[in-house]
Amino acid sequence: MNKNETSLVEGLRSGRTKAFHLAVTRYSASMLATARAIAGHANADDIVQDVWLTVFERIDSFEGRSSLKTWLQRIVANRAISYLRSRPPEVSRPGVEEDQSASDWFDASGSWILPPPVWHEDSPYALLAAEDLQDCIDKHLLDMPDSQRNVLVLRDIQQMNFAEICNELSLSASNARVLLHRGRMRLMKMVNHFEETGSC
Amino acid sequence: MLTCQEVTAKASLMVDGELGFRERIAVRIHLMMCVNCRRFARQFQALVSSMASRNRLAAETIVPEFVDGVMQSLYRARESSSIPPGRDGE
Ligand SMILES: [Zn+2]
Repeated sequence: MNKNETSLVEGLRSGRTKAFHLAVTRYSASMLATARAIAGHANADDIVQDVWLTVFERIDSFEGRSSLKTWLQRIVANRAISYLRSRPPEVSRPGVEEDQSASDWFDASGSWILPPPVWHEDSPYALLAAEDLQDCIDKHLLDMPDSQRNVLVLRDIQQMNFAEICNELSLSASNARVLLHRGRMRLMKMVNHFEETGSC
Repeated sequence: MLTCQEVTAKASLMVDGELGFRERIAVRIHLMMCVNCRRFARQFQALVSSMASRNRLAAETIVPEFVDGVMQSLYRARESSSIPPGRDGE
C-alpha cells in the first residue's frame, strides 16, 4: 500500500465520512466495470452498492496484504459471482464448455483453411465505438464459464497481474493462462461472427 | 517453422509479453511471412486492448449520483445501528 492509501484506510477504519466519500468516488468506477462484466449492467449498481455496505461494516478485516483496490475488486467479483449463482435455474446461463482451441480454423498441417475475416473495426477505439458489438461482448461474457470470465475480467478489464489473479482465484499460473487464452479466443470467434453476419 | 495454428495458440503469451526470446523470434518471422496470422494477431491485439479501455471509459464516466446513492445508504446503515456506536467523529 502506498502512503496515500494507508491514510485512506485509516480514515475508513475510524469511520470517517470523508474517507468513505473519497473511497466511493475513487474506486466505484472500476468496481462497476467488474460487476457489469460478471453480472450484467442491470445488476451492477446494486452489487457495488451492497459491497460498499459490507466494506463499511468490515473494513477491519482488510489486512493490507493486497492493495485496497485489489481487495475491493475481489469482494465485487465474489459478490457478482454469487449473485449469478443465486438466480433461478431458468434464467441461468447454459454451462456449455465449447471447444475454444480454434482447431476448426486450420487444416491438418496447421494452416488457415480460410483467411480470418477482415474486421471493419480493427483498432481498439473503433471496437469500443461499435455499440452493438460492445453489447454483444457483454452478452458473451455472461455466457462464458465462470472460470474463463473471471480471469478475463481481472486481467483484460481490470489489468491485474498474473500473480494477483492466481492469488484471488486460487489458480496456478499455467491454469490462469489457459483460461485467459480460451476466453479471449471465445471473444475472437464472437467478433468474427459479428463482423461476418452483423448480428450477435 | 511454426504453423499458423501454433502461432494463434501463442497469441495470448504474445500480447502479454510472456514469450521467451526464441519463441518471440519464431513468431515474428512467421508473422513477417504470413498475411493471415498477421491479420489475426492485429485483430487479437485490438480486441484485448479494447477490453482495457472499457475500464478506463467507465472510470471517466462515474456519475456523482451513484456516489451520492452509496453515501445515502451508508448513512442509513449507520443510523440503523448495525455499526457499533462511537466510531464516527474522530
Ligand atoms: Zn500463419
